[in-house]
Amino acid sequence: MFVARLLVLWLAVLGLAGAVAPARAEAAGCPVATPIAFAGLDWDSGAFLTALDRAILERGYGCTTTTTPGTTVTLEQAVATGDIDVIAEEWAGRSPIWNAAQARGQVIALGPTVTGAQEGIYGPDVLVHGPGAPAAGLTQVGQLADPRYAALFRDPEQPTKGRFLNCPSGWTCERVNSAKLQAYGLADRYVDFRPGSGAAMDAAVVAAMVQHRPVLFYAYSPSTIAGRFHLFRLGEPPYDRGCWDDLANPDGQHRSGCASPPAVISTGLNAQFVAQAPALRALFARISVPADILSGQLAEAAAHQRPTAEQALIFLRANPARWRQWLPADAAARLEQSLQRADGVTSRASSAFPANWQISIRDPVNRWVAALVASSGGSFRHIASGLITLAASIDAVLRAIPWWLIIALFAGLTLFGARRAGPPLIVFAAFLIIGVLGLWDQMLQTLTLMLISALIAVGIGLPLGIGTAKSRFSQAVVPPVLDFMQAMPGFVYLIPALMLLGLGKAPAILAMVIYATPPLIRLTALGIRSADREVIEAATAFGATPWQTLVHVEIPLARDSILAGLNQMIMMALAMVVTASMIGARGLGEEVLNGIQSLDVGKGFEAGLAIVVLAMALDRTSHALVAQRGGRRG
Amino acid sequence: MAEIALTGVSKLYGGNAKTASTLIADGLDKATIFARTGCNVALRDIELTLPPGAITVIMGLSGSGKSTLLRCLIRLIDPTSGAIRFDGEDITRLNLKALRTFRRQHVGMVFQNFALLPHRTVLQNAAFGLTLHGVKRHEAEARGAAWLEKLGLGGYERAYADALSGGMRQRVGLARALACDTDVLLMDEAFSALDPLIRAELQDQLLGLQAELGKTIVFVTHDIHEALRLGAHIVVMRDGRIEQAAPPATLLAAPASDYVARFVAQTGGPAR
Ligand SMILES: Nc1ncnc2c1ncn2[C@@H]1O[C@H](COP(=O)(O)OP(=O)(O)OP(=O)(O)O)[C@@H](O)[C@H]1O
Ligand SMILES: [Mg+2]
Repeated sequence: MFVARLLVLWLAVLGLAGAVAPARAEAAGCPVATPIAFAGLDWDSGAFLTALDRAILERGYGCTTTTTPGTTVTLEQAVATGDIDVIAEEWAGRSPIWNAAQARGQVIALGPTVTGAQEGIYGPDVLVHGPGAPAAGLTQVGQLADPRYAALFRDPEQPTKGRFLNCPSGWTCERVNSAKLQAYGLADRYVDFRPGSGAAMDAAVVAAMVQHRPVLFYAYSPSTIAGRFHLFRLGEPPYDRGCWDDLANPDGQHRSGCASPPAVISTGLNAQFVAQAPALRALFARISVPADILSGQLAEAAAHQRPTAEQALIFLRANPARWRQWLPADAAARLEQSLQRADGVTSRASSAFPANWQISIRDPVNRWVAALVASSGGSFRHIASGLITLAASIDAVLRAIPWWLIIALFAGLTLFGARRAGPPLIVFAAFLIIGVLGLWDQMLQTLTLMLISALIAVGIGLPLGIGTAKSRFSQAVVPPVLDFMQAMPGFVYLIPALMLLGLGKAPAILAMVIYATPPLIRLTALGIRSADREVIEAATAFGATPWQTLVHVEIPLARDSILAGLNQMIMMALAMVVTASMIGARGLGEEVLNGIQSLDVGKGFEAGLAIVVLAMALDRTSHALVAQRGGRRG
Repeated sequence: MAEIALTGVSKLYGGNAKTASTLIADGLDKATIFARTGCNVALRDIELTLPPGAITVIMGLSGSGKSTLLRCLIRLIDPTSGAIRFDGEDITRLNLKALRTFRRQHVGMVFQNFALLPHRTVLQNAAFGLTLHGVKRHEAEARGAAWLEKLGLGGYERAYADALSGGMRQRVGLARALACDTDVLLMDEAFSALDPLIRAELQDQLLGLQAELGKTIVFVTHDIHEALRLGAHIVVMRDGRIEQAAPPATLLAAPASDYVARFVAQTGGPAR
């Protein structure tokens, strides 16, 4: 996932992993001898342009190319240092890191790679056009301040406000959009909602469009969304340098807003790389695709569930006139010839699995999810709103209590349970550290999620653990299900989950529960199973009912194991906090995400530390409370 | 006084029980039946009457079926076939609820490894049986405390079981069983885990209690000395069968087989 990607990138930066995905081709004719390193952009248009550039270089020039995944900022940084040669889609001028590197002469932007690009605040077109359109007459951003529109775009977690779906934390657009909300006087009426990741942002918009729900969001073209749906863009005052600089400045006044500057989308290159290969400089200066055509390609790829590399080849085959203008005659001829051949990108390994034995469950799964999202959105949203209401009330209670009372409460409960000074002191220190780091508010949000998911996890985990220990059937069925829950990468189910439950707390709680319950089930089952047979037999001999045996004998005997399960449950749930923030949950996880996505390691570390100490505090408190029942440790 | 009578009680573990039953009827031995059917014959056709108000000792080598027999008496293990009559009532026919009532009203049990609850105090352990029966905590603990006192554990009520020595723990186990005030006491190798001195002490205590209370006690041991010391009747088991059931004097004077004789030999030859 994200962290893994970051790791790969760091390895690349350290020069330990040069070629992540080498694509072989004869080097003859290629202006550079070494493989050309592309940034592995993970958003749709970026991925498409990368695939396009790579196909042209490999097939037209006979070059070798590689890609290295990473977040935008880290990739931009890597182009500056020369670890990556090319970023196929660079919003030049928007990123402080890029601008600084450009000023130092480390990087060069060539283009325009995409013409007619747009960005801004969008909504579904049906809201304003056509008969009975609920927002007919809405044309300008400023009109959104009208409570009628805030109600239209209502935030499920804070129903008195509307929701504006911003960019994920750490993206350049995120800060500007927040500044715009303030500048347009919308900050009080709209929740500035950050989805946490690009995938989550897209999934949320797609789900809303498919389910015909009003949604107000930041979007840009070229993009799959722009190609796939009929959207309208809200008008903004025209771009103005002074206004924009203020919006882009985190310490700015944000008194008046304006449209973003015309988007200049270029190909970003390392300066030394360009100097080394003038032929490629000329090529990248000429490659150019209109935004609407690009969006169309992306929508087509999405509709057919094609990989972007495949769509890029389809595009090249269908539009020779376009790329003939980009390439010199010999390269164009070679590209033409190559495109006539079969794709030949399938596996070349001699151990390859026989192709006619392969079965794909991809399409049925896709159809099923799509149908589910389109048809049962409503019922899932009931569950979601239940969770959200619960979260809101717990949050409200926590917020109503003064900070020192919360610390006193947790430390006091721990003291009551443990009857020793050690654990409550740890709890006290942990909360103090969080407060001192300035993360109290975020901690409360995380604590709310923790409390709810712990409640659900215990409610599911204890009975299921006991059942698993007692019934042969569940002994056979439950463990593989748990394996599935623990080993299935979270995003696989989280993206569909957020399409069904909506972005924010509900899918975050789901993620934490799915991750936190298995260890509790396993350790409860283990504890019950390994309870002393003779003691259980004694209870039976004295005429205990199964329930009495469970309550008076088995559970107390399994206590240590169950306690270990509770500890693991808390640790797992907190480990999931960062993932949860990728699907829009606020709190400490968001701070971590924000920190690493903007290469602010210190900020990430602070929030990470807060997560650790919160874990310790919750563990000590829960341990003290549970261990206290039944007296001394056996 | 409770009279317990077993007729035709068999217990088979695993394998093909049907074929095994016919082989039992044919009189084949345990090893052959196991080899042919994979069936472990723990008890075969037990016919036994336990005299009321006395200590009956069940003795035999390891694996001879002593524990299985004892557990069948309150259906901690369900016999495969046969009837177990308790004052004439066949308990193998009781449903679960009636069985629980039967256990609560009639039997207390003491275990080899004490089977105490480590998370409860000595007093709570002694009162455990009663609390299960729904006796109010206050009363249950008062009765438990009285038995603890009687067994010489006064003052230890608040300690936890695992802070006590083996002998003291088994006294707690005994107090727990006696507190239930049942007419039958089942003891499976109850003193086997204790060192000889403590063991002798507890044997004396048990004999004293028996003289005073006149309970029906079934005591399992593999130790002939213990059997002779405690038992008014001794049942010697071998491979799931009863080899000989007789008062100690008869056993010593006229062992029914070599197997019994070998046990008797440990005591220093047939007694006069
Ligand atoms: N749950 C079981 N499954 C299968 N076989 C069993 C089971 N319990 C007991 N047995 C077998 O039944 C036979 C009698 O066992 P039992 O425990 O009654 O012997 P024991 O005389 O009490 O021996 P020990 O002195 O070792 O306690 C043994 O052969 C044993 O292997
Ligand atoms: Mg035994």
